[in-house]
Amino acid sequence: MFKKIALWIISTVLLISAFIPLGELKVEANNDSSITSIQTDDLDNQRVNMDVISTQSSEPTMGTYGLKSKAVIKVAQLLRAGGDEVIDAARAFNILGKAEAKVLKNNSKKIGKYLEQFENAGSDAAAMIRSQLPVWLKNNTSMGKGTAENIAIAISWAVRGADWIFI
Amino acid sequence: MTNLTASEWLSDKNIDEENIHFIESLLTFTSVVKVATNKKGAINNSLKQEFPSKQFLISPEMSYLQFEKTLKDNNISVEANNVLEVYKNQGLCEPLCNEWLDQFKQISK
Repeated sequence: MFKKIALWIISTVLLISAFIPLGELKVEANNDSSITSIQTDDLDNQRVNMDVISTQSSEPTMGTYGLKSKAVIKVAQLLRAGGDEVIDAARAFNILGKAEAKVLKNNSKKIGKYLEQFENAGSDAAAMIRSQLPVWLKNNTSMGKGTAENIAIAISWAVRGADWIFI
Repeated sequence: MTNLTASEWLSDKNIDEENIHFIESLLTFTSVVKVATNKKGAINNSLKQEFPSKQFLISPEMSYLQFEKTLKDNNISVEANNVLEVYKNQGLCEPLCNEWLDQFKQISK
């Protein structure tokens, strides 16, 4: 009888001790899965944040016309076609007055052709046009130097803003 | 003064090419923002890239005093009202120059 009781106690203890580690393992496993899910959530958040950052830092100098040299191609093309779009924009945004607009209209094809040499100037194109166009206008047209300067400023402005002016 | 272009006049006042370009940009792009208010962000971002060392904020509400302050903040030593007179006489951004010169006259009274 005593033997039977002793055997029952031993087997019960063994059974209990066999289940306890399993329980602990289950708890640990649950903890691991919760850690894993937290880490996954963090990664997801980081990815979302990175997406937001990468969207916000999209290259602002790139646009519909891409690099600035493409803006020169566009403005030159518009001027060769008579210049109405460029002139209308410069008038609408109060850059040029009536008199300068008329002079630009009369010389637009010539200026459009001259601008072709800046088509490969990349991001320096607008600054190069601003500094070189007045000299060329002075030597190749009869316009006054103040008007030539205004027209150079307006063309340089149109090149810099081509992405949103001529959409 | 009348025989010089605006940039020649500024150059004569020892304003360097970069600052002349900056003043021209302030005038032309403020003229734009006064008409197209929705372009404020795009214009400021674009100009910040072009002039990374300059302190400015172009806005539709920009006034004569803010223009004057912008020149001072960037160590451009020239009278703001004289700059506006020169560009107005040359015919660049005339409505904006007139608006700011009117504000200057009101302040000076």
